[in-house]
Amino acid sequence: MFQLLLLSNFLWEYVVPMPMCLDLGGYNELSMEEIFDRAIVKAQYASNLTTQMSEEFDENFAESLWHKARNSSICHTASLATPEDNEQIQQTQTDDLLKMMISISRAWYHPLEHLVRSVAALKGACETMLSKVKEVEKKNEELLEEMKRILVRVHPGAEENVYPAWMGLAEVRSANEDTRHFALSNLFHCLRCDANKVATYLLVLRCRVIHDNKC
Amino acid sequence: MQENMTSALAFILLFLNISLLNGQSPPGKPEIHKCRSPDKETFTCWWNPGTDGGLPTNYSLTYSKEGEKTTHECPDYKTSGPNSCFFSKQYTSIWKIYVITVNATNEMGSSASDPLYVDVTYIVEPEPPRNLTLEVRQLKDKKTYLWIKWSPPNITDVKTGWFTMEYEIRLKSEGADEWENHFTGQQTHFKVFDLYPGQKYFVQTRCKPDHGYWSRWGQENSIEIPSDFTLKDTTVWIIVAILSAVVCLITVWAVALKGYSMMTCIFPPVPGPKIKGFDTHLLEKGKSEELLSALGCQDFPPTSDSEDLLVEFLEVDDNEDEQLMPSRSKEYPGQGGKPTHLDPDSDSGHGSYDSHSLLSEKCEEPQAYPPTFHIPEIIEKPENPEANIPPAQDPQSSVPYFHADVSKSSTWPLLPGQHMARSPYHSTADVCKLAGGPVDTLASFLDQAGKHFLKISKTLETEEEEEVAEHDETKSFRSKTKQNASWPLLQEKGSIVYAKPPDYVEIHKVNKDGVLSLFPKQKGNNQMEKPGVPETSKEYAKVSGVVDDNILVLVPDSRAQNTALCGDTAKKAPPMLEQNQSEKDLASLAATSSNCRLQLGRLDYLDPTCFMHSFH
Repeated sequence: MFQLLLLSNFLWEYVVPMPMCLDLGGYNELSMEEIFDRAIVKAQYASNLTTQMSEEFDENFAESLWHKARNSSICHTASLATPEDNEQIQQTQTDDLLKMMISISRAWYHPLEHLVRSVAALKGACETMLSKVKEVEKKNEELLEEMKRILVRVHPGAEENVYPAWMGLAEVRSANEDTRHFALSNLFHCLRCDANKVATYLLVLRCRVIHDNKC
Repeated sequence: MQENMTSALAFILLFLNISLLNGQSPPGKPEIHKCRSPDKETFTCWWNPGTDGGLPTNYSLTYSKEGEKTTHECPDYKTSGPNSCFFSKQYTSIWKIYVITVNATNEMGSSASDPLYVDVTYIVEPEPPRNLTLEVRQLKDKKTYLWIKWSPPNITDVKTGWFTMEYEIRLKSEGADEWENHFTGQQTHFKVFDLYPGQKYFVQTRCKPDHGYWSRWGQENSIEIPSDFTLKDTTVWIIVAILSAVVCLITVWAVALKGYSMMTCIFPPVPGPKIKGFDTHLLEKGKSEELLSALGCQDFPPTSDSEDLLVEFLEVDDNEDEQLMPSRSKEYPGQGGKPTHLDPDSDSGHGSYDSHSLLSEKCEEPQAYPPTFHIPEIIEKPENPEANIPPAQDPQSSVPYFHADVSKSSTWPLLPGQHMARSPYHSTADVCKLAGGPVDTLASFLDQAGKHFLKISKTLETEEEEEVAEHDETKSFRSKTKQNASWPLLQEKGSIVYAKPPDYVEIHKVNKDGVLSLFPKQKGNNQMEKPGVPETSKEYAKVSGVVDDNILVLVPDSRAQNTALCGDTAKKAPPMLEQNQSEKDLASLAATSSNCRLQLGRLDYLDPTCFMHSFH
């Protein structure tokens, strides 16, 4: 039922343009549940796409690279100290959690741009990968807006946190193909993790805010 | 040098041979075949050991997290069984990739498995759902369904949204081989419709997180669908329908057998118009005689109207001087009782009348009328002796004497009914009697005439008879229906009808010589007096014989009329006359007068009484 609702919400969003969504002011008329549902749909969609892209890229381009310097690769969003398990999530405040989510989304704005360019330049890549990357980029931007609305509803007047910057542009543009592929592989991994994280956080917040932890 | 090298080489080979002979070798390469997390908080990895090389082999699992450079060893080798590594909660972090490697080591050597990159988020395989309950429920429209409900696995936290679980159920009937799967989404209940009553069903459930593996099928539960009461109702309805069909068939069969009688019972036939005593079949056959007899004239409309009609039309003169007066339309205002006298010049009574014309005109229902009822010879006016009587008078036409046309009343020998108190025609019944057969016609014409004129052949004949009797010239026409009681009735009634005898008597009948002769009527005192003298017998003028040149001598009947008709001549005896006597009579008749000469009509009879008298 919930999935169906999310799916319908997603389809509604991408297939049937609704005049209600044109202006931001119209969002004030939406309920929290509706905003959450819209955000969750976007987040889950992006999470699925990123998982597929990461697996596909590793399978085609960087399978042999896993052994190398795997331990040294870290995601640029690791500094956000996000909760890693359910207990930690339950101990985190809703607005703090929302701020972290917004920071994650902002941190991925520029990396996604470069990902699109890199995938476009990727030789032998399937056409679907490029469309997926573009789709993820778009969803990320929309998800950011949704989360900002939730934050305003939950904690009006809250200010956003600082978000980490991505510094891996040099590796992505490396002339060395292996270096390039390795950098892209890491980027896809981090992207997948963060997308899943954001979706999970939204689901938890939905149960907490709307259903009072009685999902 | 070469010896050392050779010895060393030999030694190594020997060692290897010894090793091979012993079957010892470094362990084979292990393989991690799966890692699973039941709740996204712990996980376990299992590996398959390779060949041990004949030597005891130790396995160790090492892992490292993404972004960390340190390598850790499996914290727990026991919990999950042999060849497993259990990562407890503190060692489990999601959204991090684990690089897990298993090393096998024995005396001969060691080998390491390929690293496995594990993300705990995607390796979740929950336990199957719990508390599976089955229940048969009913909708408002008495439709039954199976209500299935379960709970998520114990160790997963779905309430906080940490887990987003999707479920699936499967069921099958007792005798079925294949399961029927149904994806239920994230809800923990399900309805199944259209199950066969009386069957036993088995149900199982399993669950899956949004990014994970399906759990194994949970514990099997069974339930038996009870038989529906509606099924029984259906049976009852079927029985009712069959009984109704049987009843309908029986009814149809009964109707078919006795259809007509039932139809007549339900829809009684509407009786058609029918005159009592009148048989249409006889009418069609032309048996007017029987028809008229069948009518019986019993109930010939004995209405006062008809009586008045007769009264008005027919006039009976009891006096001797009375003359038969034909009823004239003009003279018949319907007053009733006023004797209208015809022009004495025109006629001796009723004047001239064209029975033929009248008859022909009014002959409407003559078919049934017996031809015997011929109109007697019509006495015509002297100026028109023959016009009135065409020889081929239609006997049938003689019947309808009704003359609706008032203008022709002059020809009607009808008399005003003033003096017809005792006229037999006063009542239609009498008329009927007189007429005998054509009662219906008379009646009908009575009505048709509109109470104007009623011409009755009998009347005419009666008049004729009277005339003849009175004047000794005319003879009453006789009807062929001698048997008819009408004539006697006429006589009985006294033949009150009086009519002026015509001036001429036309003989219709042709004697054996084929000559007809007319005898002028002699006005005289031979008025018929029929003061109600009942005449039992008809008045017939019989031909007594042929005299001279084709002269028929008519003898009136032996009745009083005849007597009167004959005037001086006494009434004759029964009409049986001998030839000689007839001749004598004739002579006497001729001598006396022509009174006894009766006008010959169709049927000419001579009353022997006249002759008798004459003879005497």
